[in-house]
Amino acid sequence: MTRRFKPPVYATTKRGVTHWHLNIGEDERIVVGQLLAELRGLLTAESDHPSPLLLRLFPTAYPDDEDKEAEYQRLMREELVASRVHQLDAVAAVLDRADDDTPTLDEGEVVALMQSVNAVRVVLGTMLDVGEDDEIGVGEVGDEHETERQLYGFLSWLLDWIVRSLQGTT
Amino acid sequence: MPTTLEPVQVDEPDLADAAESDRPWIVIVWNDPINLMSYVTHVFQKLFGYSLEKATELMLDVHEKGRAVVASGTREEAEMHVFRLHEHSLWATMEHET
Repeated sequence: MTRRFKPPVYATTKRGVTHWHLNIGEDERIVVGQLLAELRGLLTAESDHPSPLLLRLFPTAYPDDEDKEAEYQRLMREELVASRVHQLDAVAAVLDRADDDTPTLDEGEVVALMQSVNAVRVVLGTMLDVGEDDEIGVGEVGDEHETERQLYGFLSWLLDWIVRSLQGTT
Repeated sequence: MPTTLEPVQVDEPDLADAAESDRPWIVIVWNDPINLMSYVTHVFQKLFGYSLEKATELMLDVHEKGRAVVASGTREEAEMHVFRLHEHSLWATMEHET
């Protein structure tokens, strides 16, 4: 007898109201929580020199205009950090619902989960120097970043299911 | 009180500058090796209200041609689009339409 596969994130609609369910094991939830907390730490670290791992999270808006770019970064960077931290905190609150094996999320929370998981992927991808032709999560056996590569693969899989769960409902 | 009218210096508007500022801005998303194709498509639908077909077409342009213009408008509008794309960790820039 085979068990029916339940995706790691899926939506259900009852009486016109849609909720999402985070269907991953406790170990995975702990890993996701730790990764998001690490990203939060990087984002909020008091430093004049932000980690180069964050480079892709703060892209250039005006590549052809130094003055406008400086103004954009001055006005928007802080707002971008605040927005990311707000989302990370929303996901942390979901993961902390320890009394629930399969936490239920509203749309705002699942969107926060999507953006936060992707932000961590982007940081890991930067660390791993992922290239266009690289197969997700696959690297040389014994390479020094094997753990990060596996985490990158896991988060890519999770993100794809989050997107699918949203595509079916929006 | 002056008894004669002195010539007044008037700054003529620079027509080139005016034309420059009237030109619309375009928002460009660039290819990157990290963001998933399904995710990029979803973000285009979510932020711009594009159909799945239109969003997929733009995503494929990004993936295959290296970039796609996803929106245009005033500087303020384009900047808001760029900010929201950055919130989603996409590599977006803006420039004057040529």
